[in-house]
Amino acid sequence: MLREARGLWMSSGTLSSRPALKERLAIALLATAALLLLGLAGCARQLAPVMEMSDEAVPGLIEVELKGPASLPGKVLDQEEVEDDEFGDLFSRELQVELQVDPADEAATLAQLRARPDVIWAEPVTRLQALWLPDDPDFAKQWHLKAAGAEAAWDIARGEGVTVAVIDTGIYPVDDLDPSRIVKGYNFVGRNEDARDDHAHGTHVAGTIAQSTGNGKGVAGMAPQARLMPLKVLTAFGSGTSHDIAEAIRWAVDHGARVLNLSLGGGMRSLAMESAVHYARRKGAIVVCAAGNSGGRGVSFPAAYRDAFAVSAAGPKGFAAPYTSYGPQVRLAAPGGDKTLGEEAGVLQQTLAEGSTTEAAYRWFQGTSMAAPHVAGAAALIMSLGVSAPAAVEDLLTATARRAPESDGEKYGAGLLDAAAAVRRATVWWGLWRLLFALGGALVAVAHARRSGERIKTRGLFWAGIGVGAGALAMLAPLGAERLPFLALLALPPAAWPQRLLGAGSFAGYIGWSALVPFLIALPARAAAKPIDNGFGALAAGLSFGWAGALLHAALWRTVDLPWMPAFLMPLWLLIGAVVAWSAGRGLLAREPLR
Amino acid sequence: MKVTGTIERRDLEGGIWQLVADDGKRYTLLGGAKEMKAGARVEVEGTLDEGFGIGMAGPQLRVASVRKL
Repeated sequence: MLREARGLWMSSGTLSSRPALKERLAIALLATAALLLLGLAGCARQLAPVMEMSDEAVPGLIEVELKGPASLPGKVLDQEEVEDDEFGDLFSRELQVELQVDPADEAATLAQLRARPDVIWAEPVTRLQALWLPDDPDFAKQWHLKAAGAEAAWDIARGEGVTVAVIDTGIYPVDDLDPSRIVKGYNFVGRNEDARDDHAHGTHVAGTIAQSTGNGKGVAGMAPQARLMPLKVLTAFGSGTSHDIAEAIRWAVDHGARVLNLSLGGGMRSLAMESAVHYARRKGAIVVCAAGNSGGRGVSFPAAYRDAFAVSAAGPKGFAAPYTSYGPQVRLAAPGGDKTLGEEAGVLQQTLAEGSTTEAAYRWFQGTSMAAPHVAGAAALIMSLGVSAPAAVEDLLTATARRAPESDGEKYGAGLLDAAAAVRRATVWWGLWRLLFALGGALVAVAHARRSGERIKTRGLFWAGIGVGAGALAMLAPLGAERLPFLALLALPPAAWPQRLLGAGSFAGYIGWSALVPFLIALPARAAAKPIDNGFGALAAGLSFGWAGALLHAALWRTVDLPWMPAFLMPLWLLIGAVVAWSAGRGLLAREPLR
Repeated sequence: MKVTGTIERRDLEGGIWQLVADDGKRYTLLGGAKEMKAGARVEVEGTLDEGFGIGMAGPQLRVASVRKL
């Protein structure tokens, strides 16, 4: 009945009043621009607090600025002298006070305060929620996470589904590490499965990568949702052999780690280790290594190997730390601390207390070992967005690096790590490219069908399908994709979902990164006489074009790595997928049913 | 091998002991931490370990014994 009625409506002369393709194209472009603007607005939020999404008053808290000390109602929680005069003078400093009052009397107290002549202003204390700010009490002291761009990155990605191997002195299960996110590891020193730390170094490094964040305790880490794989290759003295390290690298990749952190080094080249690093990268892992602490020119091994990603250390002001090694192999600089500026200019994480093998403590460390895990964490954030090719992760990290304060490529590589800029590029800008490719493909197909005499009427579901298939909603990720678990998946295209949910090393990656899904959806849609005229057919067609756009982007940007697929064949595979997906969509525009 | 020099405590990687040899060479010391005192003149007997470690600031010396000078 409904279909007949619709057919009637279509044949009753309203056809000509439906907008032409050009107008729809204009609408599509406008919608794209709107998505992009919204996404960028999300990016700019930390700069423009006016655009906060929601700021809610905290009941019972009032902030007052006074002309000077005076008696106030309620309890004073905090106060500080400020200099707000146009002509700042020493004799009349203002006083800002945070007051706790009975929430029931808050409005009355506010009115009372505002009426007082010695009160410059009074307002309710609000909680700003532009960024997800973790409630870990000592997060404020972690200048290094902020410098690495972690705060703004956490709205977009938190490292779900990515395993980071910590090849070090082991990891001690301190209370600010989530035990459920520490996967099985191995102790290559003692040749057993007890990979607990007996030194403090490895646990500190693990904390920088994935300290429990937002748990109301201690400090935070770069990729709070990533999994940690403890691989103990260094003794309680902090030293180990090339043999054990090489073996651990291969073990890590074979057991699902896609980010390897090696905060260790030595002066001797080892072919065993070099070939292991090459193996890891070929199997889809990024191998992040500390450049060394010699304070001079000459990057230590394994950082100096071609397939490793060498990280130098910078202090709080962004200048290279005095102890950092440097050289042409350095790819990026990241916060490693510079204690010549004070103890708190180090990197703060929870680890073992000094001299203890059981007691935990929060300690300030410095070293290129502390810089590398900031990058490893950022790599985990990027990989959780469906970027599985290590070369693409490395390119994102270097292309989005912040400018170093000095132009010295040997000390800073491409510049200073900016995790927020990297995940932004992987969502906002890549989302835009995928959408443009998808729209382009769809328009070519529609024009092609029309030229061969078809009457194609596109509808909302068709365009929606394109957007979904291309993963265009990723452009909105900076608005807070990580606020709800299911939203997080929208930051990556559906083609990347199987890999994200089942692991980058899983063959499920072939389900997403091929034309299989659009093909299977297009098949039943073809049963209709003219698929594009019903909702399901239109959606299936749109989805196919969207998927084709995502596959084409992945082929050109080389973002994907699949198990057993040689790297040089990967773009070809994706291109074939894009053509098949596009053809599936094109097939749904045609009139003739499946024979 | 025996090396004479001055012991130095360096605030790197959570703290490492180094021996600044009289010829200016720097060794990261492995073990013997209980006998170490920053600034002490010592003769360290041990084996050179060209392996890998957290120090990344010079070759490692596996300490067998420390003799104060």
